[in-house]
Amino acid sequence: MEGYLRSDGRKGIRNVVAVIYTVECSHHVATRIAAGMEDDIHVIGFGGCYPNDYAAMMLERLATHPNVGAVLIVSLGCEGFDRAELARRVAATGRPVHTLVVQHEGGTRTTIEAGRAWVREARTQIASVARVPIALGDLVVGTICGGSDSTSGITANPAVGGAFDRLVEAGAVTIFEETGELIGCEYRMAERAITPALGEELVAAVHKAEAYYKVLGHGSFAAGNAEGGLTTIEEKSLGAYAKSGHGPISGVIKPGDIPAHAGCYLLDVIPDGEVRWGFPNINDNAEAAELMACGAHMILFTTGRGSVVGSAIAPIVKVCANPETYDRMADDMDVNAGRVIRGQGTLAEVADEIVDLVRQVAAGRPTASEQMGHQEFVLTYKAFLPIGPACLPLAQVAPAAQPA
Amino acid sequence: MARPVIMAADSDPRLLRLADSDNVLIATATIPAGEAVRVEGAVVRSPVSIPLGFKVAARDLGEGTVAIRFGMPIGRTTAMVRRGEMVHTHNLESLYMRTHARGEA
Repeated sequence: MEGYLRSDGRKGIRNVVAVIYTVECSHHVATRIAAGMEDDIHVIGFGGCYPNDYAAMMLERLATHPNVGAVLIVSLGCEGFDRAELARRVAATGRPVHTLVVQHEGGTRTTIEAGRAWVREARTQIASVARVPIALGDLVVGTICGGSDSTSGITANPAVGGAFDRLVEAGAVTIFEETGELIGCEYRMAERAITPALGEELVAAVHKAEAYYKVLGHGSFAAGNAEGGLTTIEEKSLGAYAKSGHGPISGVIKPGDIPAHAGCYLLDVIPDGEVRWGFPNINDNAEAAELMACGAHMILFTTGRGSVVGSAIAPIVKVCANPETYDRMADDMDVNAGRVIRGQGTLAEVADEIVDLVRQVAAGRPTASEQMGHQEFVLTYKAFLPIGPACLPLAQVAPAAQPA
Repeated sequence: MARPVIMAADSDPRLLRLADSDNVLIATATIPAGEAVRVEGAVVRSPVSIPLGFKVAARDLGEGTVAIRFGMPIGRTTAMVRRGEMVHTHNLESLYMRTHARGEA
């Protein structure tokens, strides 16, 4: 198993060119630059015209993610995003980076042409990035559930939890998130914290989510969850929580904080301060983006109803909880955890299968969503305060969150 | 691993008990409406089909009973729920926040 060595010492499991739009007005041009080219050109960006510290931090973290080899910035020209600062930060890592400003290039056609020429050259250049041995202990693995149903908490989520425990034992960093889907589990979760003060932070993160969703008047619960047999947010939470495994919890981080030491971490995705800009994460891909900004090389995505999404930059591994969904949508799934409910396997066997697959995907095996070209990406306005001192008892992190 | 998947005692093999203290059971396959189903020793018939993954009451649950799944509270009943009856949004509410659904749910 080999990875791509980056200047900060992290190792990538992919070597993509990121084409980054810095406002919705240059999104189409960025998409057309990548269209029809190889699958390793990934479009990400921020749609807002007005600046946001969180969005700037997120794009900086993603542009310097270990799976990214080169970066093309595509700006309209008049938006608030600080494209020069992003380019400087990427250049400081030694990655090839180039900025195209549509208003300077002469419009859509000329920018697409210039962009495609640069991307072709960058691909050749990054093909020679040093390859080094990579082990499970070098990996950061995140997890999300999407399209959960009543089987999620019985099969896929506890199986991912088992895989998380095995990955941490192998020296990896694991990250679970969506504190709004841990409502009702907070005190049990706090018992796993490596210090009592961290336990209090875990409880506080969930209570922040509960207060935030109460203002919004709607929990992290979709109509399809109920159609899949889940009745209440606490029932959904109970299933979602199982993804985190049973081992100690080493910290609470916020988007952009990159844990430097093996362990299982909770990512607090709920903005700080008053409720602004709507839902904390408007869909599963907004969650994936935040896990990637915390360094996740890949994401274990559990689904009962049958999500098909992938992601730009980090491969999504689909673990299907419901055997009927798997029968119907097998092409989109990587692991059939639902077989446990039919008595055709155990959770421990599925957990082992997931760890094996993590190893293979790290070694380059494309996941189902990668094979089908899924490269979804979503980034919205948010604001965070830096994490408190009790959140990382071992101070193992490079904090990134900017003051709101 | 923890979280053993076990069959419910003296019940239809399609019903799963997730923890000893649970008062709801989980259907591991769709159980058609009207079919005779043994639930913890008693034979009952549900007027609606119980899809895979859905919950049924393991015993009679009076209005206001806290439903327990995986040994954890998942809400409170809003009506009397008889043994073998489906437990879902029509008779169970969150202790935290209201569940929204599309019209058909």
